[in-house]
Amino acid sequence: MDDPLLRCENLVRRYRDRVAVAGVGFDIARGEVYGLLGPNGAGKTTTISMVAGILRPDAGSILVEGLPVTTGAGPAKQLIGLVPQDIALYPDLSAVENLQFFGRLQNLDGSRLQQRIDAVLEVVGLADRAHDRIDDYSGGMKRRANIAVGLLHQPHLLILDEPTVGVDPQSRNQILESIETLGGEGLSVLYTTHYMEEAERLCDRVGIIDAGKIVAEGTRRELVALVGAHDRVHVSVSGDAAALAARCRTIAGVIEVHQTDSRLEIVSDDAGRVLAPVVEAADVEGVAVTGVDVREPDLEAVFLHLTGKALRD
Amino acid sequence: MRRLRIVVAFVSVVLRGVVRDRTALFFMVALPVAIIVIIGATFGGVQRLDVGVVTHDRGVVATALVDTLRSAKGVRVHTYANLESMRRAVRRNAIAAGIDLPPGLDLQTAGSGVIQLPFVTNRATSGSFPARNIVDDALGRVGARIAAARLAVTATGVSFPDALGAAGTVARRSPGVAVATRDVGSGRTTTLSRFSLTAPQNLVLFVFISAAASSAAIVRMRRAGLLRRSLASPVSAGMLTLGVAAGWFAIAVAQSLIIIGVGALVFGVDWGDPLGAAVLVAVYAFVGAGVGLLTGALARDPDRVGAIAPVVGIVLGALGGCMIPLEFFPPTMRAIAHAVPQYWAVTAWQRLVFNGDGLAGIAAPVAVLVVFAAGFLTLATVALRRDVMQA
Ligand SMILES: Nc1ncnc2c1ncn2[C@@H]1O[C@H](COP(=O)(O)OP(=O)(O)OP(=O)(O)O)[C@@H](O)[C@H]1O
Ligand SMILES: [Mg+2]
Repeated sequence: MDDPLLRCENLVRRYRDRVAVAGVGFDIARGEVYGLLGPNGAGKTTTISMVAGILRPDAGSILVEGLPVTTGAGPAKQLIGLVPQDIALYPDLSAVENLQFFGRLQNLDGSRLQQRIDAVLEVVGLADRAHDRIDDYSGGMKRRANIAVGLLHQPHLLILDEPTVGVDPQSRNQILESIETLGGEGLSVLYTTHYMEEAERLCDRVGIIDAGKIVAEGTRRELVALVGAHDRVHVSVSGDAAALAARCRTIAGVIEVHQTDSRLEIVSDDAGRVLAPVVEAADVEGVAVTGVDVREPDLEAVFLHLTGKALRD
Repeated sequence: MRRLRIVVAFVSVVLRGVVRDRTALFFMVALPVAIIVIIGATFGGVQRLDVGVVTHDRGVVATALVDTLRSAKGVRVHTYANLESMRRAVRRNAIAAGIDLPPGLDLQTAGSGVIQLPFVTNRATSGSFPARNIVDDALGRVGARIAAARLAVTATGVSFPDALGAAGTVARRSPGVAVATRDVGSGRTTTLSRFSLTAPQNLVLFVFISAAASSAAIVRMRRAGLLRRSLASPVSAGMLTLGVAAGWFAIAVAQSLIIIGVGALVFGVDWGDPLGAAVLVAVYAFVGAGVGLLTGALARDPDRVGAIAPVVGIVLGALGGCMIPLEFFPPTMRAIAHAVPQYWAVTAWQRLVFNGDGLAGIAAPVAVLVVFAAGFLTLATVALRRDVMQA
């Protein structure tokens, strides 16, 4: 990748004898949302802690906009906003007071700080509860306040470590939407999760991490192609299913068709491309289509294929 | 400038946390003030102190001593014919303490050398320590006059009793001559209330307890990942540690000022030389910050810190002379007491409050406290760094 926003190379980190991260490297382009998808204990938090400059790697290098990231007071950290996995806020203080504290550590002060606090509380939808103690927040609100701190100093790269864990569906959706908005506004995002739906929904590219190593990387489509998985279109019909199946086999892009009673399973590289010709063929055969279900292979399948185990136990 | 901003951020966040934490506030303000109030109400105000004297002859020195004791505020002097009857009076609690002035005292004092005077007291009684101070004070004043008189005898050849009488107005005291059973400081003009002893003791006791107990908040900060998260800003682990230490230093200073303020304003405690007191408060606050930081860096369970720290603080406080005056410790206990910072802080306060010493007079105990503070802070910095950096 030319001129990436973030470049990590060969990151290694041990905790005593246990190797948590064993040579991880990836780039993130400007404006890209990059996902690290992996099961519990894969090394996601350890990796992003090194990227955020709160953990010193045993080996490897990290550059943000060409600046080396260290655990010291260097300027690279100002380009990064970290939203840790666990809520790291002062529970006795209000959201505003927490933001004031972290803002000061980020060199913000005075009216500039106040302006940023108002802005981030607006982004995470907590403006009306700004002066309540964190302790009095719901789980989802705490998560959102946790995100607000990461956004405060207008980082170029936002790192989110499983920000939707233990959150109700509504808050979860709100969080995902605000990340989509931020990504749409050109913010680069490094997002870790073990929910493949989130990775699929949010991320331009995904790195699949397992046992401290990135085992595959790419867009969803690239990853799927990598393991040779295909889209599957399930069509329920009333009429001559066998005749329709035979006609479908002639459609360009269709790899194979399985028929069982009134159901067809059409295997294809691109479900979107074959859907219209299939409906057209049904019309020609005089078969009524009663239901269509498109199944694209998901990252779960990719993960299973690559590691031989499920993403979640 | 940047460092200062970080320190200010930590100090304000730590103080806000304490102000909102009821348990911390209780140890910091409510409990010390309550104890001050209880002791103030029990012994406070102008209280009378009964002191005994055995006078075998009506010599010049004996008369001067009895007069000096009588002139002390709040003191009533009882005279006894012999040591045995005075002992009985002490045992009956009729007097807090007494001093035996043997026959021929004038002759002895005219010569050179140190004279030992038997002092009788019951250590279990609360008046014992103030009585000792008052007697010491009187001996110091008379001792000064004796020194002047000796000088006059050598210089002019007048008789010793005449010279002693004339020396009544001489204020200067020669350090080479001591009449007392031990050396005493320069005399203070007012008698000290019992509270003057307990106020500094409580300060030393509670500043330590709250520094240690409130370190539960550091454990919570660590466990919530707040310190680690702070490291995500352009701040080094060293600056982070400095910030937290400054927060705990601020707690200790704030608490000291509250206790000193209440003691001075409500109970009229004289805390002694302002510069000496300020330095002592600051140095002891560094000890408190170091203890808080070290506990906070090493402990795992914040609730256990909150439960155990006060007990440890009370034990160390008792050992360091925060409850029973150090004078009454048996020699082995006193030797052990040297190992706790409270001992040195109490010693320094006693010199400021009772002896009227200045900064120079407390230099030695303050230096020991500096060593304690440096030791605790160094260990704490290493431990906290290790924890934050997950080394
Ligand atoms: N402070 C630590 N001390 C010792 N081992 C650790 C520490 N932190 C993590 N590990 C170990 O390192 C490995 C990677 O952990 P890490 O937290 O990076 O995984 P993760 O992918 O973030 O997992 P999760 O999805 O559960 O958050 C695990 O085996 C974990 O037990
Ligand atoms: Mg994790």
